[in-house]
Amino acid sequence: MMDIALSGVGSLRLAPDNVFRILLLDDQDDWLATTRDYLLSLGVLHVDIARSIEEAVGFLRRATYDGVLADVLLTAGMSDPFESMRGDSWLLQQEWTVGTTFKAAVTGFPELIAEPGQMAIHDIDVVKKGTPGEILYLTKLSEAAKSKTRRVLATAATQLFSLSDAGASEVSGGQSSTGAELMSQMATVFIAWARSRSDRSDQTVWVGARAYSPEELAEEVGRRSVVGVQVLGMFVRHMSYEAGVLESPFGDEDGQVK
Amino acid sequence: MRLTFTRVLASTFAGIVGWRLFRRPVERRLASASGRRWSRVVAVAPAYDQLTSCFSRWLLKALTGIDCILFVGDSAERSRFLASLGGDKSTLVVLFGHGTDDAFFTSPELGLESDEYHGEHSCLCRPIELEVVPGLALVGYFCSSASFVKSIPGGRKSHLGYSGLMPFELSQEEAFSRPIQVALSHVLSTGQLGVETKQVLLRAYRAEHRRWSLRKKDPRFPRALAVCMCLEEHARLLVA
Repeated sequence: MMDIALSGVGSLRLAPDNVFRILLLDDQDDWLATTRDYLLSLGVLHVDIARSIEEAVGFLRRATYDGVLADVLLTAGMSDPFESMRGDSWLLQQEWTVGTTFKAAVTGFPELIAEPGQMAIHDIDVVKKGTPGEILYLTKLSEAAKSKTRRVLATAATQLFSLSDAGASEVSGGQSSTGAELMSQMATVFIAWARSRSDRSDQTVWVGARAYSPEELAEEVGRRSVVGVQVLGMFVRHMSYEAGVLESPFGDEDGQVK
Repeated sequence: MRLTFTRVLASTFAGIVGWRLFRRPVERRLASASGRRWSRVVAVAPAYDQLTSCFSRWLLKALTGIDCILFVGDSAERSRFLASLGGDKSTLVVLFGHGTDDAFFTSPELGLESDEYHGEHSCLCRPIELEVVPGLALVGYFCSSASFVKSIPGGRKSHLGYSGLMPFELSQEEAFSRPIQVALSHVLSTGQLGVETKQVLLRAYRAEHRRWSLRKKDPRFPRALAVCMCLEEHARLLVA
């Protein structure tokens, strides 16, 4: 499970399948730590690190990854560098296991890649360490990660809007598991936010012809009444505008998933 | 200096050109200030709960200095309002209050069928009752006002309204009063009501939204998120 922050009002817990996951394989702790921190700072939610091929295989057995970056020369603990394990060959061998969108052999010496032709055929990128190209590749990964998060939010939004159209009585039926789970989480986040605003009784929100205190709004959302669905819709739309999932009604408002 | 015929001719010509150049904008301003497009402006804002009381304040502020027939608070009474719409004058009607797609509401004592509305409102007018008003343009600041206008028989009407339930966060009421005031001023000063007015209102909403988005992380504005959500909903539901 992974939490994403929603504009300071709470967080949304995503199931593993909904999180963009990256696996880094290298025997150099420095590169692993720097790259992981950089990716996390760019908004990637989950990065695992493996220091050997055995560890990497273990990770791949346990989860599905959207990106795998492997160093070419994995020499740690080897007395003879020629006996080193090679990340590029491993990526080629594991191609059927590493069914990911992003695969890259990362090296300071691209000329050491054993089979560049095969790498290209299998869509495995070659990224040179310590160059602008490496930064560019990591940025591309982070964009893909944000895009996946947006798709997940869009699923929740679509789910809600179809419910909203169908009417509150239909709320409990016919939902996809992802949509239902996210909807329920969105409601939880909203309810927590509304209850945290219950300190002043004069802080009401008028919906139609009635004023609702934050506590009442939380209740309406909790039981998915007509007003509750409308308010939850406003909340999900707000988050979707900020994440860029939906076009803002104002046209060009800024907004990013944080 | 000798006044030759050519000089007199030239200065006369320059005077005429100058007068033409300066005359037109002045004339246009005067025409729009008097709301020439509509022969009369009728504005209604009953005040019987917190929301409608806010609306009536906003309306009075927005209409300051405008020559209009005003029904605010207890004067927002059904028979007087409908009587004011008689004759064959083109009319701008401004409705501020609660409503649905088939009725605009006033206080329970001032209209019809308050039982139908649990005694919380009564009917000030129905869409069909506005059919007789010629050259009708309508600003409807209430829920589903766009559908209300659509139900007025007699062809296309100029209008500015909303297509669903409208939310407000009144502890920050200026977030909503400012945009509608800007839009109403635009309508009254230009004599126009349509897509351009919608753009004016959307820009005003956007300005407020930016202001309140910046305040979301400021603990002095704990309700900024709710304001942003309400503004987004207004912009989404806006129809012209």
